[in-house]
Formats: sequence, C-alpha cells, structure tokens
Amino acid sequence: MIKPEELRTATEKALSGLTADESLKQKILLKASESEQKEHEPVYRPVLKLCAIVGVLLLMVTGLNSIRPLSPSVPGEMTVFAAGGKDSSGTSIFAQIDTADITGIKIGNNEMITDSLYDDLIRILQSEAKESEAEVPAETGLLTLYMKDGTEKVFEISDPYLYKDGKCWICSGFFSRLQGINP
Amino acid sequence: MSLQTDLSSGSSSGSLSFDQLYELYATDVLRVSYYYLGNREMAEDVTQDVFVKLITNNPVLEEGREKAWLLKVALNRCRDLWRSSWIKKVVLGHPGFECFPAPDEIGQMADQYSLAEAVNRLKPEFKEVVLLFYYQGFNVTEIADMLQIAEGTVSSRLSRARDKLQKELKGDDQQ
Repeated sequence: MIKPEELRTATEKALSGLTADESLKQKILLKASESEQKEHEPVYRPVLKLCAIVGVLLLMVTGLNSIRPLSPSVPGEMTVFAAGGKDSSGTSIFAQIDTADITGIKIGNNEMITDSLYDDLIRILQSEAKESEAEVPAETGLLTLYMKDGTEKVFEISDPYLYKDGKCWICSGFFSRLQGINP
Repeated sequence: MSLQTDLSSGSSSGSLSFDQLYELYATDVLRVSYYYLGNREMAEDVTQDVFVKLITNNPVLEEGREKAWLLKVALNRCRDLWRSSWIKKVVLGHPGFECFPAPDEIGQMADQYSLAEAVNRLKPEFKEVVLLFYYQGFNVTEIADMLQIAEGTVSSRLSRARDKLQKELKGDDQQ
C-alpha cells in the first residue's frame, strides 16, 4: 500500500505533465507590467467620496440629537432603549455563556472536562472565535455544554471549526487548548 | 541574513532573480495550488497572482525562505478562492481530480493516482499540512509559521490526515 510519505514521488509521476512553462511566465510578466501601469494612473473613487459625505451627515445628526432630541418627548414619558443586539464581533452566542452556569463540558464520548478549565475554554471562545463560512464536514465531533437550568448547548466540532444552527466559527486557540488536556 | 530579492532579469551577487525563482519554484506552486483547488485554470491563476505579487511588492526574503514565502502566498490565495466558491461546490459537487502523467507513464501509476486523489479529497485544513509536510518537505515549526497556527494544531492535523489517507488507501487496496 502506498504511504503518505511517498507523496513527493507520487506527485512527480501523477502530475509530471503539469508544469509552469514559458507561456505562464510571459502571462505573469505581462500582468505585472499592467498592474504597475495602473498604480500610476489617477483613480476616481466616487464611492469613497460618497462614504465621506454620509459620514459627515451622520456626525451632524448625532451632534444635533445630543443638543435637542430629534424625536419629540412628552413630559413624564420615558425613552426606552432596547437591550442586547448583535455583537459586532459576531461571537454573540459565546458572549451569552456565563461559566458560572456550566455544570459540565464534554467532548464526544470522553470524560467530562474538569471545572477548573471552564473559564479558560469559554474565555478563549469569547475572545477569539470568529464567524467563518466553512462547510460542515461529513465527520464531526460533539462539544456539549451542560447548563444549570438543565439545558445543553451542543456544537459540532472539527478542528478548528465549531458549528451550530447553520452557523460556523473558527477558533484554533480553543482546539489547541483542548489538545493540552485530551490525550 | 536578509537579502533583497533582485527581480530584474540579471542577478547580483547573492540574490535570486525572478527568472531563477520561477524556474526553481513555479512548478511546485502550480502543483500545490492544483492539489488544493482541483482545477488547472484556477491553479494557473493562483500561480500568476503569486509571482505578480512577488514582482510588484518586491518583498525582502530571507535566503532559503523564498519557497516558503511563495507557497504561503499561494495557500492564502487558494483559501480565498476555495471559500468564495464553496456554494458552487455544495450545489454542483467537487470536480474530479485529474492526473497529468508523462506519456510513457500512462497506465503505470495506479498507486500514485490513488494517493494523489486521496490527498485532493482531504478537507482544506488537512490538505495544506499534508502538502507542505509530505510533498514540500517543510517541518512542523516551519508549517506553523507559514499557516500562522500552533505547532500542536499542525501535528494534530497531520495525524488525523494520515489516518484518513491510510483508511482511504486501504479501502482502495481492498477493492
């Protein structure tokens, strides 16, 4: 049976007809000279100017609002501001987890992770996890968080990704930390 | 020691010209990109982008580290293209991996084809480490630096990729 260690030899044979030839080199040189020419041309950037105008308008509106509220208010009426909202970093699902509410963390069929690590693991997810578009692979593991109220938060995991409810996050640091505790 | 890469067609003492870098590494960049994307045209586009970036950015490359830089840029570009086309892959399916053997090798390389195809079928994060480790000969520390991930993650991915490959290749043998 051929082994991964033989990949170099296998590639030399399987892809020996796939080489970087002179025509590819000429395309590269042409593309490079074209991109250098483009750098010297003055560029008209209407989108940037439009963004600058909108930004100035927003600043003016904000400034006016701080002097005099734009929406009329009736004496005795309280302005209510809705709480929550989407975390701009896109990690709101992890930000909602309080480690004090966790009674157990399990990875696949392994034993429960000790509670001294909950803070570490959740902190890493809250600070480092970023939304990703990676598709769910055929084989994944399961990360289960057992909560005080009896509920469970279950994520499918495939290093370095976590998946839940059609969303995906990437967090290499979380899996690196796990490797330190799982044999 | 850092050397300025001389990208004029001639070379000064101690520096590699664009011609030399192309001759030494362009085929490796092309084949790694092809493994990643499974499409020859896209692999050639990536190779073009990498060497155009080399010419236009003119980076300062450490001696002996030119290949690592080129492959790092290539893998970054492959990753961008892979992600941007993931919907197509989900809907249309992954394209078949095609071999390009020399004329006298056709019909004599079933094992090599099995291994190459098995590597191509790996998920991107496993494919990257396998190509850099087994095909290009970088060590774990170098790979971790190129991909900006922990060494433990590289080792873990290599181990899991090896298991997957051996399972697939064993399955092929038994057919």
